[in-house]
Formats: sequence, structure tokens, C-alpha cells
Amino acid sequence: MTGVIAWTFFRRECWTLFRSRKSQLMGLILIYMLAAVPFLLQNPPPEIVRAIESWFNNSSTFVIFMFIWIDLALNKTIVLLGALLSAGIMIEERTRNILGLYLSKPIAPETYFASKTVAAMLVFAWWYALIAVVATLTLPFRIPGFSEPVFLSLSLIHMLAGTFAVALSATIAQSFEKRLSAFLGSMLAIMLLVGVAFVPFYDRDLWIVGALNPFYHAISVFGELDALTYTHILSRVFLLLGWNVVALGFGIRKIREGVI
Amino acid sequence: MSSEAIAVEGLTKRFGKLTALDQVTLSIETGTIFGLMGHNGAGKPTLLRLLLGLLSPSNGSGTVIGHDIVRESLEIRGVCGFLPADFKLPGDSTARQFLKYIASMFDLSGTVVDERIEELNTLFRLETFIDNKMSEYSTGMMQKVGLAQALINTPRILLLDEPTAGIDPIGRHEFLELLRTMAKEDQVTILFSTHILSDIEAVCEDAAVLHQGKLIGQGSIDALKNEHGCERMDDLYLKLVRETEA
Repeated sequence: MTGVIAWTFFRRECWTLFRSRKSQLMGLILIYMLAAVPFLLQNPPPEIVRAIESWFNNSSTFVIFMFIWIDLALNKTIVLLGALLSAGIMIEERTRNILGLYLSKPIAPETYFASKTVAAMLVFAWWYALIAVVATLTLPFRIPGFSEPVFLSLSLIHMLAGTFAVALSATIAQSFEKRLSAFLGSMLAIMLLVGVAFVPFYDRDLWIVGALNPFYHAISVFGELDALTYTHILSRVFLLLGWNVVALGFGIRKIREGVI
Repeated sequence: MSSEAIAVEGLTKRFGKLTALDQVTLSIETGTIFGLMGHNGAGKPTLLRLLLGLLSPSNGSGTVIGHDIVRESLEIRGVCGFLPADFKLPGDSTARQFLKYIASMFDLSGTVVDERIEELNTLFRLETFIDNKMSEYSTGMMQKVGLAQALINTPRILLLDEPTAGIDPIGRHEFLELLRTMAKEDQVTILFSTHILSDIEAVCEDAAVLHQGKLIGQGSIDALKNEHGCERMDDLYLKLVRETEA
């Protein structure tokens, strides 16, 4: 098996990961977020509302909801979930002293890494999509002006930022020997990216910080909610897919440089 | 008619200043059980890892069933079963899930795997614990699952590092019988690395002794004993090591 993905192994890994405690924990965290958002929305902090107004020229309840949902809830969750799902890839196996056994099978180290990382991205996407569908079914009754197509489109864009976080965690983790340091290192890197995603909103001259930050592209679309077009959505979808490929590609390269 | 299943020539592996394997040349015929003896640090796992392409040699070359150990390592791994000496199974999985996971790395799935697992289940008597979490397993149970995973792909070459460690006497006897059957009836070539010299004496026709990375003796066990005037395997091993150190 010399391709980027070993498909039989990939399917087995998806199933194994999906049934794992990590995946169950992820589902619980997302359900908690879904339950908490309406409460947060009842009394949003005035400074947040003012910031939204100045950044996006729009502070309707739906825009405030989208901001709370995507930035305050899911972006913070992604920091944890990315590392939770993928910062242990190859590190856990090495710690458990079973990596040598796995790599003695006809699967190249980079194929093993890519198959496991893409499986983690898929499991993440599955939970994210599920929670987005549940939100679409339950939240319109509580949020005035809730637009299902807009919510689902923005969720798709942000989900790809989330899968990027999973791929990046797996890649960064390969620079560490121990599981805990890999977890913390990955979390810190994603936290930093999420944290600076709003910098271009404060200072337009720093647009390059946004252009190079996938999380910026996942939220900058808020400024176009009044006139959202397929171009707005698809341009970000493709851009974030590209970032996903880049993050995964760096990981594969790192593994090729020598893992054994 | 037998042919070479494993052949290495001048195989050397250095880790920085340490030479783990030094100019090793040996050949193993198809369908034989070949014993590899040596102290800790003699270079036995290094040789096994080189054969699987998990390490690149510093010098020398080798083939496994005609495949080059550097350029065609994935092909080699596809026909090999490997049991490392020191490993820990994932405690949150059952043996059945683990075996399916390993099978997927060979691109095997579905009923083919289910049937193979049932065969291994019968062979190693896993039925009482195959669906329990492996965190509950004893050392012997772990070793049985380790052996089962090495056989999941019905290998043509079996590389075993300390395979009988932790197995009770009956299990050990049955396992050695199994190796004999596999070599004789299925023409599986087995490279058996162990400290337990009686195991080698019990099942191997040929053997080699590694000492400080060098091969200090190899050939048919009977011929080696005759050549060095030893009746027992322990005596032969000690004599070879002491002669080298002297």
C-alpha cells in the first residue's frame, strides 16, 4: 500500500476512532455548546455587540448568534478538539511501544500518518455536521431571523477550519516525543491562530495576518452576511480545503524525513 | 526443492559510533526454522528490522523472497509476519478488534478476515478472552494475541523475536509444534530469535549466533555441535561466545 491513503485501513481507523472515548467526549462537548448558546445569546456582553457592529456593520440577533456560535463556542472548542483527536497520532503508538509492530505491516509511515489524520478529520467533520444539523432543527424557534441556508453555509466553512485544526495538530505533534507535550504544543499553536484571527478587524493594515490564517477566513464571511453569494462561500471553502491539504502535506513531509 | 528465502551479505548497521550489526552474511532456505541466538544487545532485533526495511543498512545488501530489503520493503512486509520482543497492545480494544485493525493494514477486510480470525482463535484458544478488553489480559494472553497478529496475513516468512516469552509450558509446546507444522506443511520460513536455547534446539534445523553485532557461528545445529565438540546447545553457545571474547 503505497498511496497517500490506505483505504481499508482508513475505513477501519474511522470506525475505531468513531467508537472511541475521544469521539464520545467530542460529541458531548459539542452538545454542551449547542445547549449553552441560547443562554449566552439572552444577554450578550455589550462590548461584543459593539465590536460586531464595527467589524461587520451588522448587529442583528442572527449575526450576534453566528458570532457567539462560531467564535465564542466552536473556535474555543476546536482548540481542544483538534489536539484531542489527532495530537496523539504516532506519538501514542510510540509511547505504547507498538509503532514498530504497526510499521512492520505493508503500510508506509507517511501512509499510516495520512490515513489516521484524515480519519480524525472525517470523525471531526461528522460530529460537526451532526451538531450543525441539530442546531438547524432546534435553534430557528429561538433566534429571530435565523437563516438555515446561511447557517449551514457558514458551518461548512467553519467545519473546514476545524478539520484544518485537526490536521495541524497531527502535524505539529510530530515534533514532540511525549504525548502531553504534543497535546499542549498543538493546542497552543491553534489557540494562537484562533486568537490572532481578529487582528485584521482591529487594524486593516495587518491584512496579511488574516490572509495567512485559516481561522480568519472562517469568520471574515460574517461581514458579507447581508449579501452572501456562492462566490463568497465557495472561495472560502476552496481556500480552507487548500489549507487542510497544506497542513496534511507538511505532516507527511515530516514523517518522510524520518519517523523510525 | 528448497531455495533461499532470506539472504543477506555484509549487512552492517551503525547508529552513530555504535556498530549494532557488523558484516553479517547469512542465507536461510525456504520452509526452514532458523534460530538466531545472542545476548541482549547482540543485534538480533536490528537484523529483524533491517530485513523488514524498518531500518536502512549502513552497508551490505539483502533480499527476502527475492525482494530487496531497501527498495522493496513494502512487498517484503506484505508477505511477512513479525512479532517484536517488546510491545504493548492497546488496552482499550479487544483482541478481535485489534486483529481486524492489523488485517486492515494488509488491505484485508470482510469475511476473509472473520474466517482467518476464527482459525487463529482455534489455533491459539483465544475464545475465552477474544472479545474482552486487552487491558485485562495476562502476559501469556498478550503473547498469544501478538502471535495471532503475526499470522493474520498467512505469511510466507515469519520473523519472531522472543515469541515464547511469557507463555506457559503447554502453550509453549503447542506453539513450537505449530511452527514445525507451518514450516513443514506450508513451507513457511521462520526466523526465530530467542534467549531460550532449548526452544532453538527443539525446532530449528539451522541456527546462527550473534555476538556484539557479529555472526560468530552459523550452520546446521548438528554440524555446529560436532564441529565444536558440544552435546548441548547451551555448551555450544557458551563455547562460541567465549572463543570470540578470548
